[in-house]
Amino acid sequence: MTEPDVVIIGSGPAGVSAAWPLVAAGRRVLMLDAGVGTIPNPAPERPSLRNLRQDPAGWRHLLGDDLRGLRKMTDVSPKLRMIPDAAFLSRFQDGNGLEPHGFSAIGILGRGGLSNFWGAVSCAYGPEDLVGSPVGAADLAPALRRVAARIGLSGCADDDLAPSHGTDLPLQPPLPLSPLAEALLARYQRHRNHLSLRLGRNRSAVLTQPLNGRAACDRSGACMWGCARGAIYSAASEVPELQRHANFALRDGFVVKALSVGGRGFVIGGTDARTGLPLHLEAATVVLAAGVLPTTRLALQCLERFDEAMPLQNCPAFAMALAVPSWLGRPLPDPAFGMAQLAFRMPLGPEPGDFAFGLLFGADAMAAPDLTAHMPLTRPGAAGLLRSLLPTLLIGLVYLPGSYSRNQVCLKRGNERMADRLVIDGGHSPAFDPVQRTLVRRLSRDFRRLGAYLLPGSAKPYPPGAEIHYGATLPMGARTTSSGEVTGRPGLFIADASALSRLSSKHNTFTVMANADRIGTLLAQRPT
Amino acid sequence: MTVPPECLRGSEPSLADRAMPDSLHGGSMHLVITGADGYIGQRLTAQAAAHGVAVTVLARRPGVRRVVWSLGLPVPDAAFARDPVAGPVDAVIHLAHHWTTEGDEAADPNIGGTAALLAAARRHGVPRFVFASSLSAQPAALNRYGRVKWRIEQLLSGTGEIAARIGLVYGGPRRGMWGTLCRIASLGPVVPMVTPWRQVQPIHLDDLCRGLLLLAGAPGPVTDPAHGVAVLADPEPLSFSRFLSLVARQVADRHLVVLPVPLAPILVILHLVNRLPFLPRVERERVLGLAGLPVVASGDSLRRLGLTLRPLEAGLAAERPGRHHDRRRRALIREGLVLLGYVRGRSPEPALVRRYVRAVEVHGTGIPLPMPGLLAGWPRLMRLVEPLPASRTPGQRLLSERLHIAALLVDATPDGGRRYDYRGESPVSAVLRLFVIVALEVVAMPFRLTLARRIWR
Ligand SMILES: Cc1cc2nc3c(=O)[nH]c(=O)nc-3n(C[C@H](O)[C@H](O)[C@H](O)COP(=O)(O)OP(=O)(O)OC[C@H]3O[C@@H](n4cnc5c(N)ncnc54)[C@H](O)[C@@H]3O)c2cc1C
Repeated sequence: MTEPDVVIIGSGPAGVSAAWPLVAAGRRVLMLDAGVGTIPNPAPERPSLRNLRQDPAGWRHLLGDDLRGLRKMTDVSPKLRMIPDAAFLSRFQDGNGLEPHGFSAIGILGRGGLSNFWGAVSCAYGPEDLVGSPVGAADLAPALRRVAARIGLSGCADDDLAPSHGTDLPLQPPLPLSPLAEALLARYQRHRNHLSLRLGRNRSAVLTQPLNGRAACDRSGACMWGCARGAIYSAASEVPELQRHANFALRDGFVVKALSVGGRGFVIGGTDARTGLPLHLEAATVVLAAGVLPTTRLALQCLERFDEAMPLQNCPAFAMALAVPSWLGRPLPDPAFGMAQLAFRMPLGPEPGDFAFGLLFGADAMAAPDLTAHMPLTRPGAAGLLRSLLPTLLIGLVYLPGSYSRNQVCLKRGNERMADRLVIDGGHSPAFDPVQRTLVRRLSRDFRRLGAYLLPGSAKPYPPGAEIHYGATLPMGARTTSSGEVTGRPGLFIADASALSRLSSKHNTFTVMANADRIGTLLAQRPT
Repeated sequence: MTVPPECLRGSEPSLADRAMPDSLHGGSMHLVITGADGYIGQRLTAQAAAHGVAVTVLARRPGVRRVVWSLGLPVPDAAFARDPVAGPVDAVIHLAHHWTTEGDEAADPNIGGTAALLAAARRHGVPRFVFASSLSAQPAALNRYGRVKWRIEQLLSGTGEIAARIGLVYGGPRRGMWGTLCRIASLGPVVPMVTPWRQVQPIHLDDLCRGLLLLAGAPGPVTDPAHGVAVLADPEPLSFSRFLSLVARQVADRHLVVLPVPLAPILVILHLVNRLPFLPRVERERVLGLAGLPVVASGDSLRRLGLTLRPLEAGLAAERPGRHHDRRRRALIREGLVLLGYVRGRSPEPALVRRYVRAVEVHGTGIPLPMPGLLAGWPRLMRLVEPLPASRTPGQRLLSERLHIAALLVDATPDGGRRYDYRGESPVSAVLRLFVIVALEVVAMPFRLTLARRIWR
């Protein structure tokens, strides 16, 4: 490609979403990505979870031929254990000069980014989540619709959670619920007037009808081990589609290390992931979409804001286990959809946006030892207990808004040998502990009314960052304009969650994709 | 380098095992070797280097480059030359020590030599300098070694200049202090010893090397910011006599009785012995060194580095002589039989055990855990000694990790899979079943609370 009009750094959900409107408008787009090649998906002919579990050779799929599923990854989603590259985390942190303290800085240098492994829960930020943001719900709405149509969302448009997930969106039919989740939801409909809890189906970027060459979910149940059919959206699947356009090019294996003002506008320095040799590129317009931590580092570097502590938000989260005793003795259903079944929310305070957001998973689609590892029971005891409890069990993940986090990032100048480092200090706000305890009590009370009992001792907070919802380091309206352009650095745009004004407790990727699409659209309208 | 396949075949003695031709002795030769990382190349390079041959390795990945220097000589600039791939020097790890007993302590060649090296590193802008010091480094240490180390530590002042205070190093080739200890341990059955109640803080050679590399490479503050000191030693000290009897038991398979003798008469005897002709000299320095080890808190240093030390018994068990690898493997197989048999409730088939061994070798330390013999006969007894998940001692944590590996492996077999194939039963019998499980757990709990800590140290 001759001189690109726009260079996008990162091929994750944000990068790909910013690229589409630019490519459609005929702009020449060069996408840089640190990863080399694609991250392998499970083979399309992989059997269903039930068959895998009965097959003597099933371990090859469940743990990997090289037993990579056994590697030690404390406090990290079990989904990440199946990544073939064992050193992916240190490569991500070293490559990006990240120095986390008390913060799980999770990411991967790879095509499609974390969307290769994500849970696909897709929520649209609404007015309550956008308070204080220069971008309103109406500004986002068209982009949300475009992205929903592009990636395929399945869900329900008229239950109690639909307003929270986002209205007015093109939706495929919802995924089927497990009988237990179905029963809980039915009970909720009868009792909802006495509860502060709001419960509904989950909304996810998982196909129930084929779309753009991706197949619909076949309910094989093995979602936690990756999707063999591409039913779960991954940004990696969109890169080849973008590459069909002559005005789009991907340069992979380009690990961006430094960004500064100069040359045609910006100078991008990096190393070649294949050879280790230095790389150098100039661009007039740069869109940062490398994930919040790398993007923040590059933007601060370009702004030359060293030694200045700035807030980073994450969504403090905890896990919990619920049992429905009336289901004791019922047979386990065939596994169907293996990720979040239901979603719920619970108000925390009077302010808009101050609510907790949660998900309920069926426990049978996870590896039982992962569930029991923290129980004080013996291994055989835990296995026996789980076998009887499994039909009654729902695993909850609960997220709080970013305002309950208290993390800081600070860029430290490097030297000839060491790149500039982004030091990340993790922590919860003092309000987190009491609010979490009260929340657990209130959730426990409301779920009890639905016949679901919180298992004592099961509510366990994640360490900061382990839930992988980061953002709000370069908020629009403060460090960036409402079109995502960095204040003081015309031509530099932020397309990922760094630009959110604050983090809602809801999952942000879908909203971030829409915002990236919106920013790309605005950029495409500018004269070249 | 491409090695013709016939070179790799069969029972030919390897190049390295044969005697070196005379022309190779003397150190005037300079070889360029390619393929130095391979099966033959690694050994060849080591052998050539051991014979004083200068070796430059041409390899795809950066590797070893040797520059001639010794404490007391000026440091050649070549030592800090940029590597074409790896770039400028990132850190110096200074291990060299010249063992001295006489002369003015303030003019000890180790001090001057280190000062010269440090100055050269500073001049070349090397951002990190790691000096291998000792737990005995103290201004008034009993032996000269400790005092000299302390003096050298005082030279380190800049950021990134770190003194690594190292505990009692064990494991690996039987040389240095470790070699002496192994020899003493195999003397038995009674060993007289000066102040055997002295506390020591061991560290395995491999853990130490990992720690040093971490110190050299970790970004940000890795040392106690006030002093620039990092402590590489077991946070839990044990008495020297206990350490030595563990060495005897794990490494030489024998029981050792340690007989305490007071220090003063030993020094007198040493003094006399060393004056007698024809008798081997015993270094007074070494004896004093052992008598003068203080206990130093190392937990913070290790945490800051993210370094977990292997439990002592496991580390020692892996040091057994003889067909080391086979022994280790056999011990891992035994361990796999116990743990898999325990979590599965019946004995595992060979393929599953092989998978276990592979998993521990790839994702664990690869070191077998010491398994009480009783468990080998009745894996189910593990119920009474399984550690609780929150347990803190390294031995218990390691066992919990291994149990998790075993549980995940069993979970991915049809046997484990059947647990998800629950066809249902009457609620009453389900409740009864739960009741029985919980009752068994309640019975086991006191045993676990008391026994686990003792068995898995
Ligand atoms: C297990 C798991 C479950 C999740 N579940 C959900 C969920 O249900 N819902 C939800 O909304 N979110 C979820 N997330 C989070 C979601 O995956 C991320 O928010 C999302 O992927 C962020 O998109 P992004 O494009 O900003 O960054 P990323 O996906 O991180 O992509 C960053 C891209 O930038 C590239 N890159 C990084 N550094 C450099 C560099 N220095 N030079 C060049 N390229 C670079 C990477 O290779 C990558 O392509 C989950 C994440 C995980 C891991």
